[in-house]
Amino acid sequence: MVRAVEEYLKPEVVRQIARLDLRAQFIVKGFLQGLHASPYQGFSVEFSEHRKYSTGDDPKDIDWLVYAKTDKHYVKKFEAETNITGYLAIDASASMAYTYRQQLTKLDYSISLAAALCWLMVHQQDPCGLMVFDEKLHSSLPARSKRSQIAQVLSVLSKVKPAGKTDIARSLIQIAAMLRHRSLVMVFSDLLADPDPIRDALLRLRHRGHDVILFHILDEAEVKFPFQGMVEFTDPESRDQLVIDADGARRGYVEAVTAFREDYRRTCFHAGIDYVPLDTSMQFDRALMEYLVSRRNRF
Amino acid sequence: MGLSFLTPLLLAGMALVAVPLVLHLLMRRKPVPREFPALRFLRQRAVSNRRRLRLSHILLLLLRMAGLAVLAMALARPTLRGAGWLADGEGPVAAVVVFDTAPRMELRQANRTRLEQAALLAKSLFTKLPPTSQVAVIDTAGGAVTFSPTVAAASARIDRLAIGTALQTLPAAMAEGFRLLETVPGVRHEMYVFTDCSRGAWDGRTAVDLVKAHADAAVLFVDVGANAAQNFSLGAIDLSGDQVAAGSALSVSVETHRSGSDANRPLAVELLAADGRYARRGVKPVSWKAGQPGQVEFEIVGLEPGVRQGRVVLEGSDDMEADNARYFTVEVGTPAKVLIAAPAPAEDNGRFLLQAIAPAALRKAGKGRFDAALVDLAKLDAIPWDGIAGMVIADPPPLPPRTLDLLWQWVAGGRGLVVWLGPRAADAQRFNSEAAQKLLGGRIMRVWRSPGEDNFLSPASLDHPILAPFRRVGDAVPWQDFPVERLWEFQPTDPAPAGGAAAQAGAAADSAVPIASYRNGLPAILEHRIGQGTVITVTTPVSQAAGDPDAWNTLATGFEPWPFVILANETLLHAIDTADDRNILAGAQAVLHLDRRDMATATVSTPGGDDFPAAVDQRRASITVTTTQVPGNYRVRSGGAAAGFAKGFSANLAPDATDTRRLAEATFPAVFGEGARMADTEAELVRDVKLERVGAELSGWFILLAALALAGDWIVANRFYAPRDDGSPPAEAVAAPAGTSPLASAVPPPLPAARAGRRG
Repeated sequence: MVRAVEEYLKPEVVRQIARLDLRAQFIVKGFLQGLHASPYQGFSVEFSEHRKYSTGDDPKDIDWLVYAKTDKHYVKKFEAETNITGYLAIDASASMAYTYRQQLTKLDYSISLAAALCWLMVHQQDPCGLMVFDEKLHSSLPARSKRSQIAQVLSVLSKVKPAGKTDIARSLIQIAAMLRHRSLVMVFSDLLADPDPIRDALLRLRHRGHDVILFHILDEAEVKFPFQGMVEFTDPESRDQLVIDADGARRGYVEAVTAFREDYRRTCFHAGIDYVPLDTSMQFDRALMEYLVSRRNRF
Repeated sequence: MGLSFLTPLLLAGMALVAVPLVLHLLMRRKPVPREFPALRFLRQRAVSNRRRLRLSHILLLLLRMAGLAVLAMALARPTLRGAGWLADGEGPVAAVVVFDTAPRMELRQANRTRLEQAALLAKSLFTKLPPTSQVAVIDTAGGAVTFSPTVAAASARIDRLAIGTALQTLPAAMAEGFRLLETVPGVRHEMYVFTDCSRGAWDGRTAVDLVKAHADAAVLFVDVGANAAQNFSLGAIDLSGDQVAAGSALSVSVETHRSGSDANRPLAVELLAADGRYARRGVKPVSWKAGQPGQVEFEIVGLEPGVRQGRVVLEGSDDMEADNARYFTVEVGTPAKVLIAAPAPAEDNGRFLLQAIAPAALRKAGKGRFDAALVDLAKLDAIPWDGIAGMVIADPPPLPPRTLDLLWQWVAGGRGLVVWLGPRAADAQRFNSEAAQKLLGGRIMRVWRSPGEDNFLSPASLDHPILAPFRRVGDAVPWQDFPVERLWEFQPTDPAPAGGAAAQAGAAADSAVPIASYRNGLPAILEHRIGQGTVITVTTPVSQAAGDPDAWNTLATGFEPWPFVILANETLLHAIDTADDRNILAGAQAVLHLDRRDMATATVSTPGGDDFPAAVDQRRASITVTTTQVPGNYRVRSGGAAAGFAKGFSANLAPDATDTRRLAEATFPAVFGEGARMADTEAELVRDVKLERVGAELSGWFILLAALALAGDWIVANRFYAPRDDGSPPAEAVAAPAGTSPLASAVPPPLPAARAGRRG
């Protein structure tokens, strides 16, 4: 059974679902069913608006209005704790359109993940907003918790076309400037730009009191470098070219990518940012789990 | 050793190495284009990677070129051999096969003589000769040195090879072979030397210079020696003298040597009787120690007058017959009449010589070698010299020319004279009359004085017959106990100052020849041949009494003067000897002298029982026998038993002809040359012939090398030129590595205790 549920979380399976809303439901339900079947089912209570009073609960948490209507004791304080405003910040630069041999591009993977998170958040009554950026922020939706918000977010996501260069730092600074309340900012990017400004921007976001989850999404080929022989590589953003012996360069490349990720992991750890390195061959549950862990840790 | 090719024309295929070079330059394969966003991580190491890429390109190019080159070389059939690029390995050759046919090749092992073994290997060698090759068979017996008309004829010639007395050494036979090869230019020269690698064949000889001088010829030594033979070997025979007086004893000594294990085997001495059969005169049990030389001595008494022949023979048989018997001939006769002429008083001055030459005890017993008479030198002319075989003159003063002329004529007739020079010669000028110089072959110069005991007789070698008896004692002769304080410096007649070789030879014939010298280098004993006779001159006297303060030496007066006794006897024996060759080496000529000149021919009986006539040189009254190759006792007769004469001689194999002891392996380089090729079995012989003629074919190795080069090319090419694809993802997606699943790796977050309580 668990194996069947996990199938829902595989990118190659998710890709077969054309409608983004169904895809998001598919991912989240698969994830949740997986949780029910797993030792982590305690998270499922997070989806209840009220919980029945039980011995040991503080009587002041009892929602008396509900008692008046139903003549049963429910704890109401729990509902207040679940309100968290989340923003999905998606990098839509040209490099995000890349895939070598995976079913989903980095952007497809990010959108699927973002849609799933949006669906999850809205169904928890958490307001969810969207921001899409490349060199700058070019489309955004304010955070709302209505069910209709899912449709709006998915509508915007389905229209995102990867193009142009990226300026992640600038976009994050823009996002930081736009957010007035403490929010959870979930960044989906390959971070293939100069890391120092990005680090500064992330720190600025964090200093403003926002929680940040950085989904660092690379293509599987960008992580494992499976190329062989002599290859002429072209950067899709800058159009720079480089002829190289792939076999000879593999070890050095992998070391460089590992160091790059480790550098971000260390920076994020010190800044209190959740850093989630992903590649497009990985299942979605890890990203969802990160969200839930982060959400719980806020309270 | 050198690398050569059987089909060198195919080496032209090496030009194909240009093909990959041209292809490399013209058709450089383009790299596979791909988009890749993470280019920033590749740029960091792009420079070293590009350098590596270039090196790999060059490596790939070199591998392809090497592959083609090695393949072309493999097709050209590379071979490794010693003769370089000279000739086609399959072409005809000129081959010389050299056999040692010395008697030691008769040694049997595995029921086969060494010569038979050599013949067997040689015939197998003939089957490997390329067609139309020329072959010559040369042996040490000195047969014809020429190429056989066909290989079959050469094989038949091998069949006819027989063991016999070697007339030449193996290096000499090889030299003949090289000379023959030089007459056939333009073909490959090969020489095969079949040898038993014995000391007899190679001790003191070497083939190194010969082989070096003919480096263009391939020389292979084929070792046919025996390692496990069981052989009893008799070496050189030694007689106490080949002329003995009737009634005196003959001592016969023979060297022994054993190959194999220790054993006991008796030796016998036998004398040839009138009926041609050997009669045993003594047997001695002998204990033979392997590898250790020994000496066995027999004493034969009661020899009757006349020529007596005999042999020392091994009882039973062994692996080699040739060295199982040694032969000897002695002449037993009545004591020779000799005169001892000494200055008055002759009894005093000639006493030592008389006692040395004819001791009183032996004279009384009738066993003396000589019938000696002591006479006053001044009255020498007055005594008839008829029947006198020899004369000894002690300390002569200047003699009248007439006496000297008479002596010259008398000696020239075949007699012997021994002169012991002494103080009475006094005035050198008076002594050195023309007749005296003619008689002595030189002149006295001055008296040398060597006070103290520094000077004494010191013969450089004991080769001369006069000194030969001292060989048994060797270096132990106590010459230093008999110092010579004074002596006459004797200068042999000068050879002609100018003139050809013939003139010099004539002058030398009239000149005395030093036989032995003193420690100070001056001649002590000289020999001068006059006609058929001999004059021996000793440059210090033995006529002075023991107490004489002016005595020149103590030769005769020292303690136990046995060297003087031997010397006095041997000088006289040698002077009066008719110089018959009674004991010779097989193959050498024997000259026998006759007392009469009225016989025209004589009959020679060989050891095999054959008779053949021999001409008598009536002018010189001698018979020369040259057919002496077969060892044994030869008899020479003429004129019947009553009025004729009967003489004889013995021919023995030279000791090295039967010395089968193997050379030490360590001496092989010095004997055969550094790196000389040796074969001792048919397989090795065939292998060496193939190696030398065709070489070791290396095609297989070259093909392997080519395969390695092409495999390397394949590996490198696959490494650098990955299969070109169209960029579409492969059918199988690369799964995430195990353990990277976030669910599997994530640590379950602990729930807050309060909330957990509420859930409950």
